[in-house]
Amino acid sequence: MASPAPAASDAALIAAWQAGDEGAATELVRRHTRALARFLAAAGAAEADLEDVVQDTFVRAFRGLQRFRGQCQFRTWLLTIGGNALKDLGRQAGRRPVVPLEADVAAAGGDPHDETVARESEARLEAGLGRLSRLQREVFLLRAQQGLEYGDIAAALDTTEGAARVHYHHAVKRLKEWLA
Amino acid sequence: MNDELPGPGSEPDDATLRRLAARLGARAADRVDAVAVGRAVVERLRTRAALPLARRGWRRGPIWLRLAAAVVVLAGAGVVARRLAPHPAAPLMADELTDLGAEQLTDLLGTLDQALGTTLAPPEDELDDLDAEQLERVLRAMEG
Repeated sequence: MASPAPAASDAALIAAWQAGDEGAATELVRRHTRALARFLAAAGAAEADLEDVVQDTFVRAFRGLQRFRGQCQFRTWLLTIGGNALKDLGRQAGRRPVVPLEADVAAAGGDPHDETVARESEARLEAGLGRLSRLQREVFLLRAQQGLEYGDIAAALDTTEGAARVHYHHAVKRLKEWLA
Repeated sequence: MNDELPGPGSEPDDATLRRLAARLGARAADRVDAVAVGRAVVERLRTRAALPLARRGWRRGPIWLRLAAAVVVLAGAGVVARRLAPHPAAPLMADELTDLGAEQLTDLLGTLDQALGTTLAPPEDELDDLDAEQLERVLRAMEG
């Protein structure tokens, strides 16, 4: 069976995968890996474990596709599975990615001082995220990092849109207090 | 790109917080090879699909296979139960002993001896002197 075109929708790729097209699965992985990795890293996955958690999340998602009925975007659903995988691996607490500063500054190509300041700010935000409840952290990241709509977040987390908004605002409030 | 957080005592504004959040994990994600992940994921899914039934769990097999397995288990359990349970024919035979002659009773005892691997049957000439009630007691004694 020929693989669908790269522009195929997620739904079409899912259907193709379920019909036995491995190329469709590969395309879904390629399409969503970066967003998933960013989400997991921000949620506390250690950099050394990141690729394994990403891989595990996709495997879980493909094996559980019968539970995905288009209630939200595939990516949103995938990210929540990633959150579960991370929790199950027990790697959230106290496992923050450690990035060699020299290599990153060199790769970024920007002003070293600005880069350093930005890294420090991100590190403080990560520390703040680690102090939130898991639900607050995931809602905050789905909204602020991934740019998802409240309705989509609510559907993925099996809650109401109002509840998702409340979690987000609680998270922002606590982060601001932490970062002040 | 200078998303410096405000100094102590002042909160970051929403826009700064969002910009910082949007960048979180970006460098770590850059190091993840999506193509390699895709290959590994497909391989894991393929391996899973090819696993033998025993490793995937027999409950995932087709219904006819599960039924066949259940029949085999039940038949095996029945054989074991029959071997462990007392011989069911003995009490029935004891009730019917009055209808048997001495020779028939001797044959019966001989058969039981073979089954038990012992020589519990009394000599044939002694059986002629036993009445039905005595013979029944002998049989029950041999049954244990």
